[in-house]
Amino acid sequence: MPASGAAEPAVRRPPLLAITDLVVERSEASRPSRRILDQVTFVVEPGAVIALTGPSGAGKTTLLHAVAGLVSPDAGTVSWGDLDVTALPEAGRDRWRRDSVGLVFQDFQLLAELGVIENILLPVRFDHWRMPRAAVERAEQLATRVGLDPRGPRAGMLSRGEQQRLAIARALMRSPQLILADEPTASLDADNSARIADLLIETTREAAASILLVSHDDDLLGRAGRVHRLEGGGMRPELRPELQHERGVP
Amino acid sequence: MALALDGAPLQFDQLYKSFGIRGYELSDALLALKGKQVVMRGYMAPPLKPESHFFVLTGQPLALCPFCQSDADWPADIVVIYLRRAAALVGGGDPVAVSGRLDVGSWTDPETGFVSQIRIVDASFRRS
Amino acid sequence: MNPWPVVIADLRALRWVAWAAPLLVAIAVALGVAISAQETALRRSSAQAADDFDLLIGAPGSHTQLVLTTVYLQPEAIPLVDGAILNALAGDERVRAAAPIAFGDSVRGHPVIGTTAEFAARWGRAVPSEGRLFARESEAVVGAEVGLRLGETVTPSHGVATRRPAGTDGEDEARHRHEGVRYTVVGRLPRFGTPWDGAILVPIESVWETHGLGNGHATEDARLGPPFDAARVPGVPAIVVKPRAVADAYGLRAQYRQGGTVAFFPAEVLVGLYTALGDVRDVLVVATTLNDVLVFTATTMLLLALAGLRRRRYAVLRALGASRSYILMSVWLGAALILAAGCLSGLVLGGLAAWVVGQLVEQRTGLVLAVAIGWPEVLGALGLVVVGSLMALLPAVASFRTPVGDSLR
Repeated sequence: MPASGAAEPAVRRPPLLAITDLVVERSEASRPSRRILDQVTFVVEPGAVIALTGPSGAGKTTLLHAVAGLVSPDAGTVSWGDLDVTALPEAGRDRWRRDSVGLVFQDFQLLAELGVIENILLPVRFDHWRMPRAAVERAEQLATRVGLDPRGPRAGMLSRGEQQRLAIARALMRSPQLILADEPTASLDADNSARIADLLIETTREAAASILLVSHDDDLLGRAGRVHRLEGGGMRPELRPELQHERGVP
Repeated sequence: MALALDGAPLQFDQLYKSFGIRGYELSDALLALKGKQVVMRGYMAPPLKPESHFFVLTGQPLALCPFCQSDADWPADIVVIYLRRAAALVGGGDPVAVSGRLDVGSWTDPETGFVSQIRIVDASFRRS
Repeated sequence: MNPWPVVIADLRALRWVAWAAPLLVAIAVALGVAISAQETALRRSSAQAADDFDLLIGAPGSHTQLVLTTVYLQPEAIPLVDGAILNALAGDERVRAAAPIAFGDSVRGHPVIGTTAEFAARWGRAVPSEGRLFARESEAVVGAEVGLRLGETVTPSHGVATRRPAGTDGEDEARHRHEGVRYTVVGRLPRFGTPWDGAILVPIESVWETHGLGNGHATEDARLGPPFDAARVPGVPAIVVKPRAVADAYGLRAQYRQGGTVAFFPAEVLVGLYTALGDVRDVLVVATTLNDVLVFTATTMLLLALAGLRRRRYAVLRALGASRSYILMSVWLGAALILAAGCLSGLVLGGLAAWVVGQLVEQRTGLVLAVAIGWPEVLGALGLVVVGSLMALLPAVASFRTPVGDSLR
């Protein structure tokens, strides 16, 4: 044991995320219901980078929503370690998502009228009236980590690359153990895509979180530990574990 | 649209039991209601001020009766109304209903010098 | 939870609509406030102007006209009432004081009123702010708004009491001057806030003399004021009486309603006018209420539409961890703020509008309106704030019920 000062804080490894036989059906008026997700099964190991790809309309976004607890599946389970997320009531899933999950969207989804630090702090406002000093400090650190000035201008004035960085900082604010990213580089040019891909993977690793991402970006897919392919095909999307790259789970 | 005025009803022809040479005598019915809540219907005498805390209630619409002017004496059948709160008064020909506490006996108003025999105090009124 | 950042973001996103919507609401509210405040001020000020005029006696004719000319100095030719009544009143024990009011001349647009010094001092309650009351036939005391200095001498002109602006010699006036008649200003009265502030008060005796009727007294240099002991006292347009007691007031009124004269309390006329005024106000209140309903409904529909457009935005917040109640609070606060801001600015705007109208009335008539926002107006505006807050619940509840998953697409 080194005789120096404070010991390294133990890094909590995230639990295993297991998706089992997930079924989501959508019914529209005057059409028979169709299965968006049909018996989807896979896992995200603690700290892994797992990607989903496939043609559009195949249900990738729906899968992310189901994992996040935003959509209640018609069958199957999403479990986070010992916790069965799908069995929770809506309020329970909301709380789990608030405490454990960080979201990154393709179109950033920031509040354009608020400044940099305000956007990062937004998730804390959902259940705090007064802003704890510690939260402000963390937000400032995150802003600096992603390369933004905490006193920066309104989010609407930032470049697209900067906006996605801000979104990543916001996603990390509450120290989630699971990051869900839906096409995080699809709205960016090649240069920014590469930088955002780097930033996303690095910060997730620093936070010791697992990440499940959806993408068509080969560069980003290349950094994943494993890539799953979702295909709509006809009406029955199948999960085929092609293109699996064993890059070693971090 | 009735705002209920509560109190025992009192008519102008119930006020006096006789008009003798010496003047008038107050009726028993009137004396029995002394100090109690009463409701009287009548007409507002032409107002001295548009807004006031008192006015005179008469049995006949003074302003409209030409023959009533021939006698320069004040009509015997008047009741002086002292309102709980100063209010905007109405025209002399408008019928009103008054509710308040009946007070009987000769009394001189220190402010106006008005001598009255019968009064209703703490009163409120509405046009009827 | 703290919904303010979301509320602020939503309001900023509205840009100019965040100012325009409350402004529309404010204008609607201001109408109601202005009407209410003006009506109250008009009633109060006009009643106050009639305070010293307990009982008026005049020749048969319109009561309203007599009040307008004597109390409010709106010029009009009035038939004369017999001057002997002045002496009858002087000897009547029911009368505390009585004074004639005679008009018809003017100086630089200011009406010249002939009366007694006692009434000029409003039965003793008004003390001259400068100088003193008149004591001789050639003296005059002026109202607070008359632009003449103490010691100045003027000559009256016949008739032609022009409307505002007073203070200047008209062409007509110059032609109708009473040559040889002079008044010297010896005093100024305090401000009454009525058209009498623009009047020049002179002894009734000099008005009679100016028109060749003698001075109402038996001798040339008699003391001013009653009794008027000439063989034939000239007539006057009106007599104002201060009765000794309330019963005396009614008695005098009854007596002088016959025998070729009219007698009434100005309050009677005013009460009739106020009833008509109140009726007009009731109609206007209905109109402005309808207007308010329209504007509130339109604004709420706008806010509902906005909440619909922002569905994705709120869904993202839900996804990020906001509860349904958080979204409800944010939407409700944003909507309620817009409506409340409109109501409260409407209160201020209405007060301003009422003040402006009051200034116009004062310029036209000389009647000073004490315009003020009172409890009725404040409570009315607060009531609208409550209504607005309730209507703001509509978009809030609509946002509450939207399921997240669908809205995220």
